[in-house]
Amino acid sequence: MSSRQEQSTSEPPAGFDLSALLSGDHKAFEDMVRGESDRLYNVIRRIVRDDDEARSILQETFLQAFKRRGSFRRESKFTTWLYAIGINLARGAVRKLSRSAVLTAEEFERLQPQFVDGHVTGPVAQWKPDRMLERQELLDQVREAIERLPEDYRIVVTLRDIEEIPTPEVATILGISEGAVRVRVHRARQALKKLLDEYMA
Amino acid sequence: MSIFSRLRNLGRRELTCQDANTFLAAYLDGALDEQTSERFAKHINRCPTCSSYLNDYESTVDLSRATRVQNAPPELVAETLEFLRLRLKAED
Repeated sequence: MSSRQEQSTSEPPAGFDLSALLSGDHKAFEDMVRGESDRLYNVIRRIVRDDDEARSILQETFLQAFKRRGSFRRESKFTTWLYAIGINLARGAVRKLSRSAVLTAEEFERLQPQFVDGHVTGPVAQWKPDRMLERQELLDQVREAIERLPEDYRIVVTLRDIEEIPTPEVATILGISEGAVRVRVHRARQALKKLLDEYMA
Repeated sequence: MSIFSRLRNLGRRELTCQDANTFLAAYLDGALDEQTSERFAKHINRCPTCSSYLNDYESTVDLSRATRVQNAPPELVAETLEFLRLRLKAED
């Protein structure tokens, strides 16, 4: 059994001058764009599930961040604030896209373990360690399963588990409490685990 | 049993599987207080079902992490910068 003490892994390489950026300096802004584009693109891409849409939202995110830089209050990291803008734009856009493969709320609920008097009811699948070895095929299964998660859950798994952003920072980005982040990511992990049971057990 | 009576009892009795399940995310965050952490470990060590579940739950987190894409399109930064330069110039 191991405890996972998370360090802040999300701080980008200190590649831009924040004060200059906030005073409108284009070079500082472009340095920030260079440093943040890839990772933010990947987060947005997970939400909208479309390459072209993700590029367009990435561009709009940076543009809005630059225009609204006067409202950045230094209460969080600049990148935390930037991610909140990007995720909000992505969420607005995702409503226009097909959601056919996404689990309904009922389907998602059925993937959660059930308890009676504190005990699990029904069989609990146990994963076979050798299934972890067929790496590429397995990762394709995992990607597909993540894509099927309802949006709120897909976002929290992307930020917390894929990008490894610490819980307090995810809470700030999403504007919810740390407890709510843990509940959400927990339910998402349980659903993912259940979706992978068929392949892994 | 209501959530309030469950919470009241939580401080006294041994954890159930459901209690342990509730603590999984906080456990992985290293956010459980010392006492709860000990009781959680005690339950996991005694309960093969929860021990196996924790193992597969951690594997799930590891697998999600392993899907991280490092390769955004190579032209992404150049395209984004070009878009921003045009837009900001237009607004000057």
